Amino acid sequence: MNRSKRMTSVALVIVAVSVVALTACGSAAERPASTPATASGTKAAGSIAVSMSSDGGCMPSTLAAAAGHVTFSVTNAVTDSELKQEFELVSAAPKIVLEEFFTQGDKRDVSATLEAGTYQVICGASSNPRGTLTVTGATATTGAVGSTLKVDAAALQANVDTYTAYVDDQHTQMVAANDKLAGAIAAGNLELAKSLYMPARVQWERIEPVAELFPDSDAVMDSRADDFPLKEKDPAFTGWHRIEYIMFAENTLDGAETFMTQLQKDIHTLVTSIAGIKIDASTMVNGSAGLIEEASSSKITGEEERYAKTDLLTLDSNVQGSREIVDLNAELLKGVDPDLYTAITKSFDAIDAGLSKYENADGTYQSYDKLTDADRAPIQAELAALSENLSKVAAAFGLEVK
Amino acid sequence: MAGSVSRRRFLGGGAAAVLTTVGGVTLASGCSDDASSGANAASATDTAVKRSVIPFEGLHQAGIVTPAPDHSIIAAFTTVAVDATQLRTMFQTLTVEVRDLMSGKTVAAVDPLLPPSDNLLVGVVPPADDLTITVAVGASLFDGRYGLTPLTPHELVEMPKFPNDKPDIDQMHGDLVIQICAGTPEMCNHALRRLMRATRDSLVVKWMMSGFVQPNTLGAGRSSTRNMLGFKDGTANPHAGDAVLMDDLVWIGAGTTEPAWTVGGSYLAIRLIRNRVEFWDRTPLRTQETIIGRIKDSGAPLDGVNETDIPDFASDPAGARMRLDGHIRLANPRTPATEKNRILRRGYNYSAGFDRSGQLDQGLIFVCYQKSLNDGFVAVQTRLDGEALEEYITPFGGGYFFVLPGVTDADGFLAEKLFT
Repeated sequence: MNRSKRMTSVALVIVAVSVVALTACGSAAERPASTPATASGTKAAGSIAVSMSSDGGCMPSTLAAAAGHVTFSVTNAVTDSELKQEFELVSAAPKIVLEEFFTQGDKRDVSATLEAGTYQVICGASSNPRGTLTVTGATATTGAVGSTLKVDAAALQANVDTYTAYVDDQHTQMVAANDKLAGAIAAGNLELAKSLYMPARVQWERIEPVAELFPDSDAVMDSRADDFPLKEKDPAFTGWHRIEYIMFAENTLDGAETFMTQLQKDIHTLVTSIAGIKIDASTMVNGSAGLIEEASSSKITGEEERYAKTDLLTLDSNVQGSREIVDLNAELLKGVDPDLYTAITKSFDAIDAGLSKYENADGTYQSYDKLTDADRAPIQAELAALSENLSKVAAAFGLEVK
Repeated sequence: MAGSVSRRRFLGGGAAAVLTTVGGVTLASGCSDDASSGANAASATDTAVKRSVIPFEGLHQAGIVTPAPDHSIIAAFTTVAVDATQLRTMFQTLTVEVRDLMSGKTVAAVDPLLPPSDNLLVGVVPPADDLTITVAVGASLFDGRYGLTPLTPHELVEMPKFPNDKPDIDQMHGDLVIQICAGTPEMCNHALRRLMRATRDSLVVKWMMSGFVQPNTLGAGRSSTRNMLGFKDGTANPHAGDAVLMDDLVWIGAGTTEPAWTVGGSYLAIRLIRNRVEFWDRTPLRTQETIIGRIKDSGAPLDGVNETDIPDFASDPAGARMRLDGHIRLANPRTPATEKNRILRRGYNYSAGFDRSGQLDQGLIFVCYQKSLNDGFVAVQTRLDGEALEEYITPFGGGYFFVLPGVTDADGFLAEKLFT
């Protein structure tokens, strides 16, 4: 709900352009060669004329610009619809860098400051064929000014690919687990639905740093009641925690189905958005640190699963997701900093041992409210120690944190 | 802490009492039998810091262009006065207290069988301690309870939620806010307790935060300090000693469309901004510097050498040297068009213990003054939406207020023109 402006767009679909994967390698050669620009699309100065047509899509569909302040002169020339049409630029990150709406016949200039790279251009509905904007010129800072990769680039890329497959697999599991939860809710089986709540959450908690690249999805799927003026009663409070609130605090399924249906749609949007995304090495490596930051700042308090009290499993999922990344990169890390690898592994083991004290025979965890401050303190300390060590991995690899 | 030490030494002067002239009366300060000054006795090696009595009367209230002393308390209140008459009385009472406190009036002796008239946190004869008390009002004061709605400053609204905010409604807004600044925390608390004691029937405290700040590093009239992220902050602040510039950027002048009573006042935006300090401390230095846009040690912009160097964003349109979503680049792009968006910042750091996850609750009490909220804070904050720093900061409280015009004569009181 943070970005309400962006969320109001009718069909917001973000598709990643497959460009640079290894920012630290400065692998400019891997970028697709700039497509020759059309006459109206190439302008070093002045504005770039773009028209939204009834045929769907941008006219022209191939644009080019020099890095820096870029102005587009946009016309809504759609004649067969009176709806507002959207003009949107999406970076390779992917991130929406420009989003403006135009009423029928509207023509005006919009601008954005753009770094070099390839952008998708959306004109009208997001299902329309997308245009491409190629921005050339001074290189962006996001590579690494003066940093040199200290691990084998090909091996690192192989790990990125493996991690990308892991993320995809988590998505597949996420869809299946939430379908099951939806089934139990639709069948009116409260006890079954309660037992399926956490299994539907763990995949998200394992890949949160990647999922959070999509803040709109994060806002509708994983917000907490505190984020809304009317707290639990706020109609904008949606997603897992709304369902958690209904099932565990109100102890009913009344009203849950609407939110579950919406959540399934939002999951679908997320999965579609992430599909094909190129995760870069820095995102992967820092993802392992990010998960532990998340765990130690807002999971340890029990505020995440405050109605279901299943925070230990959430915490465990963050730790699993983080460890997945470290394990994947174990050989590389051992090669550049064996002591750091040992320290990190010891921390993970200690956290696992700490959590296992509260594990039930069936693999679930004890209710989090049963833990005392004294119980939480050692977990808290281990997470903090782990965070300190994980924050050094990127530098050990020669990767810049963005 | 260096600043605090020198001021403590001043207070703890003990045997060698420091004499300060206040309005023609020579006062002995640094009472050796005062519990707080005794506790604060420190080594006498550093140079004495000269502190003053800041005049209360003036076209504008003190505490805005006044150089910021080391300590502050900001407290917001709900007015429970039942009608405009009681509200007016509250402002009169408040004004009497503010006058007495800022002038350092000697505490009157009372029958010892009665409670003392003063808390004596700073003794019977309060020392000169740069004390300022600044009173501002929130949009809710104009909500109709007191018939003040037609007098609402045009841009005064309840502060909205910005995209990165995590609002804690218990730490936001208020009918009235009081900013107390002084050289010592004792003086701030002394003033706070006196003010609250005198207005108990009309004001109920809503939220409060204590702040501290290092002495500025750029010399007189400037306001660069270090924030809790360890970076220089306030380097590009407009020069508060430049009266013409302040008329241009800070004060409501005559001849605007604002209600006439507002002349001499200013819009105040307060933001309580928590810093995720543990996370920040384990973020690589270069990342920190590119997120802010300055060298951490020197405070120089990334393309400069000295703290006061002006960053040249125009020659770096693609963000090769200074990333496009860096803090100082978005906050002040240094273009002619954004000059009118400059605001006078006068923030303080805070440290408020730790949260339930064991992480420190530290950050910034962001305070800024401007003649137009929309041209000032709102424009700057809107540019900052999506800045790289967002991951490390959580704005959670504060509000928009309007600083009452100053009191210009001995019979006058704060907010007087709201009741005529």
